[in-house]
Amino acid sequence: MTRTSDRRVERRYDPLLTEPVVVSIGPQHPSLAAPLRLTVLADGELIERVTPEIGFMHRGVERLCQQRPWVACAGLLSRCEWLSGSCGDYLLSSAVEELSGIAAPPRAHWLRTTVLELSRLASHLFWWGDLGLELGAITPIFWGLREREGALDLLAMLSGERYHHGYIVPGGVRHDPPAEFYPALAAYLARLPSAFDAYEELFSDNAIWVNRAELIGVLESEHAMLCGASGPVLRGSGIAHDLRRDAPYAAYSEVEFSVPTGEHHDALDRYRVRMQEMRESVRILHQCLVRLAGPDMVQGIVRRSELPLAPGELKPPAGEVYVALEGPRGELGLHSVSDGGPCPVRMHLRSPSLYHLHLLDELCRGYLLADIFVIYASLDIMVGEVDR
Amino acid sequence: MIPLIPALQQMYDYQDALTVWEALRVWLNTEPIHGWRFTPFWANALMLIAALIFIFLFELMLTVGIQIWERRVLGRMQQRWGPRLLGDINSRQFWRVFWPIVALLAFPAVLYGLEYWGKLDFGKLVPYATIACTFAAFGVYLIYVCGWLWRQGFADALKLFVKEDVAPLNADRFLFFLAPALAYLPSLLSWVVIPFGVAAVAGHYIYYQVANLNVGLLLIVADFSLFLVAIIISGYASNNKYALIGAMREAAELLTYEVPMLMSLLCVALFAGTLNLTEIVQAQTRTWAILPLLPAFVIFFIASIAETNRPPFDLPEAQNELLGGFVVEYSGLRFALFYVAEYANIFLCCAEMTVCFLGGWQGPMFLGVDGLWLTSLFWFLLKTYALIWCFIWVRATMPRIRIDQIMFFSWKFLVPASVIAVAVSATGVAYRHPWFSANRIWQAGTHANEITGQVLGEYKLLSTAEALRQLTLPERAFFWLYSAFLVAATAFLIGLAWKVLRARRTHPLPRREVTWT
Repeated sequence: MTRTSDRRVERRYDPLLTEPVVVSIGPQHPSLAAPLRLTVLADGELIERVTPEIGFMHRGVERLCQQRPWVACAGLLSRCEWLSGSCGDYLLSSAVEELSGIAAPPRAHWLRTTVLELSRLASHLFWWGDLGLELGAITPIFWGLREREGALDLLAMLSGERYHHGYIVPGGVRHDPPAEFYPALAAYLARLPSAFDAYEELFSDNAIWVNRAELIGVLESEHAMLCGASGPVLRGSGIAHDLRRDAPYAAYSEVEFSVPTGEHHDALDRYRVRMQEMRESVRILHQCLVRLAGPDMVQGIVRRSELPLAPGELKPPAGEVYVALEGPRGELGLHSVSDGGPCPVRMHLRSPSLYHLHLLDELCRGYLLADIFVIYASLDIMVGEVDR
Repeated sequence: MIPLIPALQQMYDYQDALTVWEALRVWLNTEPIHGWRFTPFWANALMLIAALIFIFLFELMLTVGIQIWERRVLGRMQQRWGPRLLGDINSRQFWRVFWPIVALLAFPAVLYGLEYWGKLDFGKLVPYATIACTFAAFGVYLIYVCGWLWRQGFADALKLFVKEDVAPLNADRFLFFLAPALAYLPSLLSWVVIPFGVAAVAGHYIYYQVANLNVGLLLIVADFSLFLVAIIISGYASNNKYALIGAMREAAELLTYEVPMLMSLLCVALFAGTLNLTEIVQAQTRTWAILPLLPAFVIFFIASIAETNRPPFDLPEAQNELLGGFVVEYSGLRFALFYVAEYANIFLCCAEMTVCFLGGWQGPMFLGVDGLWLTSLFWFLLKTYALIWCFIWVRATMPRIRIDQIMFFSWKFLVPASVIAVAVSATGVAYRHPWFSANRIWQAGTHANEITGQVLGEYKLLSTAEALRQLTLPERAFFWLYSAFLVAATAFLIGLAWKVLRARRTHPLPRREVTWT
C-alpha cells in the first residue's frame, strides 16, 4: 500500500459563523504522565491550534547544578530523564572525562553500553505501554511494564537502584557486575524477542492502530531537520541520523546494529522505528554480553581512579565541553563549563523533548482531537526533560 | 432423547403459558389466568412495583457481578497472574468457584426428579410449585452472583454510596440530576421483556419473564434510544466541554450504529415472523438463527459494542481524551447509576443476542428439542456470559477508533452489509425458504392467541428435509438456487470484512517495510 496523501482535514465552510472552542488538556490529565498543559483550539473535533504550556515541573536543575559538586550533578541530571536514568550519569561522566582528558577503561565502555541500552529498552517499553493506553488499549501497558520490570531488575542488580542508577561514574563505572548478572541478562535477552513478537501481534498489526496512525502527524524531513528534531522522530522522518553510529561513544563503534528509518514520515513510522530500535537494542546487548563475559576482556578494571568520587575532590580543569548521547528520545546533550573548581560554572541540558514539543502544534493542526494523543505519544515527550 | 420426565413429551401441547408475574397473580387470587385486562388497578400497580423492585435488585447485583467478573477475566487475558493463581489450585478452590454452577444445574433437576418419582405432586401444589421453581432457579443464580459480589463489589458500591454528591456551580441542576435516572431507566425497562427461561409446571409454561410483550424486540431497541437522550442531557447539563464533546460523539455514534442494529434485528423478525421475544426463542427450536443469519449476528455484535460504549467504540467516554466524557462531572451515586446502566446495557445486548440468534434458553441443538430443558436458565446465562466474555475479550485487545473512522465503518460497511442481510432474509422468507422460516412451513389460518402467549400450536415444526418435501417444484428449484446465492453472499460479506479489517496487514509489514541504512 502506498500512503499517498496527508490526512489533514480542511476547515469546512461554515455559514453559521460558529466559534471554535478552547479545550484545555492538562496540567492534570490521565494521558499526560507529567504536568503539561495543552490548550487546544478546536472547531468541533477539528484542531486549529495547540499551544503547549510548560513550566509546571520546573525544578531549576541547571541552576542547582551550579551549586553542587560535579558528582552530585549526575543525580540531578538523571532526574530530568528518569525513564532512562543512566543517560544523565553518562553525560556528566563523559563531560568530566573530556575536561580532564582521561578515558574510561574499555571494560567500562562495554558496561556503560550495556547500561545505556538497558535504559533505552526500559524507556521504550514504557513508551509502548503508554502509547497503547493513550489509544484506549489497556493490555499494552501491562505487557510493556512486565518486560520493563526485567530491565529494571537487571539495572537494580548492577546498581541497587531501579530508576536513578548512579552506576556510571566519572572514570568508568562503579564496580564490576555480580556474577549472577550475566546469566540473568542472557535469560532476559532470550525472552525479549518473543515478547516483541507478541507486541506486534497484539498491537502493531492491529488494523485499528494502523488506521489511526498512518498519515497522521506527518513531519517532512527538511522540516524535522530545521526544527532540531532528533532520535526516533528524525529517523521516522526518513533521516538516518544516530549518534551511536555517527559520533560513536562508549563501545558503540565496536558493536554492529542497524539504524531504522521511516518512509512516510508519519506517526506510524515513528512507532515502527522505536519498535525496531528495541530489537536493535537486544542485538547490541547480545554483543555486550559476549564481550563482557568473554575471555578477551580484562576482568576487574572498570574505573580510572584518577578521578576521585568524593564530593569536593573532583575538580576538572577549566574548560568548556559539549557532550551528547543518543538517548531514547533523541540527542541528549550536556554543555558544561568548568573553572577548575569543585562545582560546574554552567550546565545546560539539550533535551530532545523540548524540540519535539515545539513540533506538536505544527503536527496537530488540521487533524482531529483524538489525533493529538497519537501524535503526542509518537513524539514520546517527557516533561521532566522539557522543564528541567 | 431419553424421556426424562413424561410430562416433557407434551411440552408443545401445553395449553397455558404464562409469565412469572401472571403466575404470581394467580397465586394471589387476584386474577384468573386468562383475564389480564380485568385485573383490578391496585393489583396491577402493586405487581408492577414489585416487579420493578425485583428487577432493580436483580439487575444491580448482576451488573456489579459482571464488572467484577470482567476485572478477573481481564487479569487473566492480560496475563497478570495474581497470588491466587500463581499458587496451587486445589480442589477446594475449584469447588469454591464452581459450586454455584453445579447447584444451578442440580437444583431444578432435583425438584423435577421428585415430581417424576412421585414424591412431589406439582399438580396439587400449583401455586407453590410455580413460585418455588421460578425463584429457586433465580435464587441459586443470585447466590452465584453474590459470590462474586460480596467482598469487592460491596466495597465498591459502598464507596460510591458514601461519596459526596457534587454538582458543578453553573450546571443546569434539574437536568444534571435527571440525567442519571433517565440513563438508568431504560435498562430497567428492557429487563421486563427478556425471557430468561421456561419451566413447565403442572400443565403451565412459566416463562422467566415479567411481561410477554408482543413488541418486546422493539421495546429493547427503543430503550437504547432513550439511553442516548439521557447522555445528551448529561453532556449539556454538566456545562463542561469534555462532557459536551463526549455527548456529541455519543449522539453521532449511537445514531449511526442503531441503523445496522435495527436492520440485523429485522432479519431476526423476518426469520421468526414475530417481534415477541418468547416466540423468537421458540422459532429457533430446530435451527438457531445464527446459522442462517450469521452476517446479521456479526453486524449486531459489532453494533452492540458501539451501543454500549465499549472499547474500541468508547469514544464518548474516552478516558485519555475526554476524562470520561459525559460522566466527567458526576460523582457518587449518580456516577454509579451511569456505571450500572452501562453494564446493564452490556448484559441486555448479550441477552438480546442470545434470544435472537443463539436460541435463547434452549440447550444445544444436538441434544434435541427437550434436551436439558430443566436448566433453561443455565443455558441462557451460559450463552449470555459467553457473549459478555467476548465483549471483555474485545476490550482487552483493541485500541480505540477515531470518530470519523467509526462513522465510516458504519455507513460504508455495516449499513450496506446489513441491507444485504435484510434483503437476503426477506427474499428467503418471501419464497418460503426453509432455512429462513425457522424450519417451519406456515399452516393456513393462524389465529391470534396473544393472551396466553401460546403460539406453537399454529406451527408444525418440520426438519429442513421435510419442509423441502412440502415445497412445489419451482419453489424447490428456487431453494437450491437461493442457497447457492446465500453461500456466495456470505462469502462476499466475509471477504468484505476481511478486506476492511485485515487489508493493512498484508502490505505495510512493520518489521520489513522500514528501510535500513
